[in-house]
Amino acid sequence: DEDGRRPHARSFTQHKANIWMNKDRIVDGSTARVVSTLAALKRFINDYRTPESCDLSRDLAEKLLPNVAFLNACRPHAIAMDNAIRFLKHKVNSIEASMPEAQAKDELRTAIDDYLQENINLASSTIASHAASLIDDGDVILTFGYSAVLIEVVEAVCKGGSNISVVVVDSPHPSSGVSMVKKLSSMSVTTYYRLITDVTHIMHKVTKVVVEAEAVMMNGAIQGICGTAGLALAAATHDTPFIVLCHTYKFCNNDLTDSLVINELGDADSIVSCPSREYFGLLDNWRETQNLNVVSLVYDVTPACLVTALVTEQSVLPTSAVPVIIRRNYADILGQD
Amino acid sequence: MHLEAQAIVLAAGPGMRMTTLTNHTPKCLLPLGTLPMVCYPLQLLQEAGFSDVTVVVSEGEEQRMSKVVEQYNLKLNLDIASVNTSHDPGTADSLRHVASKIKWSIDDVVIVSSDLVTDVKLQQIMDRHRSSGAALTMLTANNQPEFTKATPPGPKTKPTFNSDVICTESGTGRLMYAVAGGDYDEVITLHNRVLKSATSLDVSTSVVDAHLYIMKRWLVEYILSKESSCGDMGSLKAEILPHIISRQFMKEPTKDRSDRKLDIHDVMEKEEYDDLVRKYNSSVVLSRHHNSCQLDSRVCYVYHYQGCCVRANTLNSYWELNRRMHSLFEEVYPNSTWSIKHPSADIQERAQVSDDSLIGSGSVICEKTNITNSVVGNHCRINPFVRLLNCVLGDHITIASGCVIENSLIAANVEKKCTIKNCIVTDPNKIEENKTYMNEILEASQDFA
Repeated sequence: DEDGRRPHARSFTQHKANIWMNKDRIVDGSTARVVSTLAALKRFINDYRTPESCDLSRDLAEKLLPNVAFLNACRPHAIAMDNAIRFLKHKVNSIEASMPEAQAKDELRTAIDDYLQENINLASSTIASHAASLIDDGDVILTFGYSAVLIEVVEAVCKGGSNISVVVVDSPHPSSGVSMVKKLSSMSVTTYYRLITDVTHIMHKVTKVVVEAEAVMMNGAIQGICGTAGLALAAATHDTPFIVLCHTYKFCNNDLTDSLVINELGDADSIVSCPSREYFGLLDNWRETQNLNVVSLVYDVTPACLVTALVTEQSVLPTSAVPVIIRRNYADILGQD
Repeated sequence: MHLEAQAIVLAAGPGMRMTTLTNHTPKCLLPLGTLPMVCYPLQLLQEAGFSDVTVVVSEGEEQRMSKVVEQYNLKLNLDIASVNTSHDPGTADSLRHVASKIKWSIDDVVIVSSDLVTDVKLQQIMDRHRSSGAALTMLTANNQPEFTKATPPGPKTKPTFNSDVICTESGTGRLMYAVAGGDYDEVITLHNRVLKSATSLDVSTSVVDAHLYIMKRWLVEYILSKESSCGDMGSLKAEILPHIISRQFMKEPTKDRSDRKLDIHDVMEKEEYDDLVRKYNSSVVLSRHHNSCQLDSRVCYVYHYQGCCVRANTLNSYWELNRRMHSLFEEVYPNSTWSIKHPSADIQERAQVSDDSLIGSGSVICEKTNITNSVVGNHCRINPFVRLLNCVLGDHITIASGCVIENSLIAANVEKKCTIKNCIVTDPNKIEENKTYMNEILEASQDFA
């Protein structure tokens, strides 16, 4: 019924949707967005009441659709979010009709908690220990932007007694690398900060490049924050190993070969803002200017041939092993779309 | 059912800055453009989707308040609570009286004063409040001197205006420090903690606290708890708000819980998985979800509104709001069935009523009257040969024929023919036949029994 649905939908969408309003981007990065989505869906399930003479699994699945669509409209889903939502839909569909509502809701809530615990918390620490085994004492690691998993890797490496230094490469907008540097230096790790435009100059001093991925495709291509592909190319030119960290739940059965087919538009205004006093505000009204279009891409795709190793919580893999993981883990879910 | 927010209207205020008018009528029911003042915040809440509102009035006014909804076509359920105002309580005491009515299942509480007139969309403030994850969002507006410094009728008085001081972090709108007008002498002190927590601060005396607060439920409980430092505080705006704002920067208390009062750290509620989101969040937008550890659940924000937002709590702003209501009405009272030239008013032929005048319901305007730029309340009777210019009349007022009234506020019947210019009339007995009154306040003399 209308009244029953509206407050729930409103509560859900108001809570988290605004976080993802395109211009806000308060929560960014696939992992954080997935946690936010699932936390919001958990609250939604909490407030949900089955209407009379309705099947919980069918009704809840129906009620989830407009909410998910709303989130998508606010900001296009990250691939990892799609996987998480698909998992939840699968769980909802598998609820038996005879199960009492309280028990069903409990099961769903526990399923969400377990999913987050297994695929994010535990997975992160496992990835950290796998990656730590790849890193030797005295290594100079290059990384891109802010990555919580990488911070765990560095922690694990330092705990293992090795001494490493980290170069944080940052894109000028959004400059997420700043908080990365703060975190790392508070852990007493020698940290350097460069802009991505500088990377070819310093690549010869770097021993390994370690980056976190937003998603991994069926053909082994890596979707990362815009700039990762350039980093991979620079690494390949200097024969530096390019190691990618990724949780397995972000594996997706798409095939991507370029960055333009599936992408998202970021904040264009930050690109045209010029810090120099002379040209400040020169392109402020680029929208009205004819023949000028400003495009800021959020993601880019690194082809599989540039990736040396893929570190997941299952093991350290070559990119050719990706289809095996996808088929094994997601056959039941990715099959039904 | 999980409700998101609860609304509380504080309408028990005695109207200390307009005592000439509030002797017989409570401030919240004073007519503002043919409607009682309290209708404006109620309409604001109704527009935002609220269907139930808790109203706190002073003892004895419950009946009158409960009639407001039906009389003025509001679609709200009012839950009316009363507080004894003889010992001059503050807004915090009003809030304490409704402590039991605050539901457990809500997330946020909207607290608004009954004298706020604004065209802001409450839904937008709520959206901002939720997405920033703030514990407190305060509505602020630009000081509008055309209202606060307007000259009301009556004898010339020196306008006293105490500005609030509001200090926000530049760019983010985070509320760093606030002090109410009148509570500071010449110097305000900013603590080192505040200065260290922001890169750039904007301190302003031209920004006004509009007395519309959205707070998280746990914060309201902290305020109402007898064990916290707020237990002794009387005023929401002057004492409790500054206290909460200062708590943003305090470290966790070191003393044992039994040795000290309740601290905000004890009641702070975090949303589930907030920490996890914060850990993985690579956003550069500063918010409660940002991994900078300075921002957490206690954070307070300001919603600065550039449009019309005035409190009718002084004679100056009350007068000016009345006078300007004909142009403001559409924005500050949208989508309502109440019209400012009410169809039930009987405006007879040969009565000249200008376009910018407001006529209340059931009023009778007799022939050969001239009403220009005035507000006539509900159920008034304007007899023939009356001339009204720039006046504000309350409800149930009769003006005897032949009167000439200019630039005055009439709150009582004018039963004898006279000329009134620039006066406030609250006592009908003070009017004598054929006299001219200028720049006076005609009120019943105070009995100091």
